[in-house]
Amino acid sequence: MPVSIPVPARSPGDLLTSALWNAQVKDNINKLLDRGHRVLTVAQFAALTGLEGTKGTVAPDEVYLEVDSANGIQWHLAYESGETTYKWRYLGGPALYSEVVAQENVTSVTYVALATAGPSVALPRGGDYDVEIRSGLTASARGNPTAHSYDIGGTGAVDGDCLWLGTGAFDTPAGVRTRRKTALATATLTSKYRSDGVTASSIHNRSMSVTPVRIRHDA
Amino acid sequence: MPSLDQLTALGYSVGVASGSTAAEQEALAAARDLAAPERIETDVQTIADKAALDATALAVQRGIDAAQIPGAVSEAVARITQAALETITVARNENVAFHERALAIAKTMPTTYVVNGPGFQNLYVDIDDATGNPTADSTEMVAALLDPDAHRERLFQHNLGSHPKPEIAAEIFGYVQDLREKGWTVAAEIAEGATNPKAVIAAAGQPETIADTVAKLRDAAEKLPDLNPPA
Repeated sequence: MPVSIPVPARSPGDLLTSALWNAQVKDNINKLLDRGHRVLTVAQFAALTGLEGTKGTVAPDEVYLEVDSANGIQWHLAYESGETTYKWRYLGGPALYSEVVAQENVTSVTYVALATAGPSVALPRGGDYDVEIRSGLTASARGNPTAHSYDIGGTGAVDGDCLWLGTGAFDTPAGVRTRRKTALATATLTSKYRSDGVTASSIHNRSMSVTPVRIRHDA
Repeated sequence: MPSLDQLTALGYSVGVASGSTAAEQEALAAARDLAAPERIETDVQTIADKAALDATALAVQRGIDAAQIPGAVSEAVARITQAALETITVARNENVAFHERALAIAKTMPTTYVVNGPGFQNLYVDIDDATGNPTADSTEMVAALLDPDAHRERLFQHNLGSHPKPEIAAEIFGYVQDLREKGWTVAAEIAEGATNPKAVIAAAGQPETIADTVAKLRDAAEKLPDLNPPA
């Protein structure tokens, strides 16, 4: 936030006008201190203190959080003190995206990684996120139910999060499913797959997109 | 960083997504440079010089007696300079403390890397900076990326997928799948086959039970120009 420095008391005929003060002190200092919206790394985001922002009364602190410097992905976030835990509301930016196009088989009836594990997305901070998974299936038999779900850190994938694909023989359907996952801790989401355990399923073009809803900076 | 070295040795590109301790060290060093007294003094002097020019112009504009201008200007500049010095010093020291906290936090976090290669894009893996090994969340992911058979299979599919005649590439892929369903283990030869389909057929041999499949594969391979390995 811009610094606020009150103009000192003036005497009659004083040259130190408000305009001069603002131009030479306030604006220069804000510029020299690099105030305003800042691009922060995840560690710098976690180190923030003294935050403010209250809907309707106090303008929110805002940051651009660099969540993937390799791909240039930044999230624009605004602080809201009224939130219970996840006080940074997401205003915009690209999703974190991961993709495996290789076509690989699964025969397990429990969730497993394929030969190329993933896709995977590392959540930079805890929070509420929209997690979208997609995949295509090449079936070897009619029915051929196949599920694409994801581990959340050390917690194994579950059907409740899964995208189910089923087909007529040799059809190649594709599907997508989005879930709003709340109160996630900092963790890596890693796709896992299972079939009915009877017939092999061949999965391809699997991807995962993760978009924040609101997050916390301190964990 | 043993895991990173192994990944890059396979030709994968690896970039830092977040959590880099080195980046925080650089940011802290930059913050300390800005907080050095001589740097603050230089910046404050710049403000003082500009303020003196503006104050002089203002005095002239107001018609202040020329003899009184230097005194009036110097008083205003002195007050501006003092305020600038105090504010910048405090804020820059706070900024150093902020980056010290950030560095301390970065040291407790794994570094998240994003890995790209044939057959996949943006796989996020966490590496423990202290050991160079993947964290528990990423152990399976890294092991899968380093698996030689899976790597060759991805190269095979990538090369076929890059072929200028997709219908022929699909035909080849279909026959390979057919071979596998008949019990062949062809993965080890596939990478070579991706650049020279004739060689993989020769290496695989032609058991009687799948002779017809091999013949089809050979026919398809005859139509398949040499493929280029991934860059």
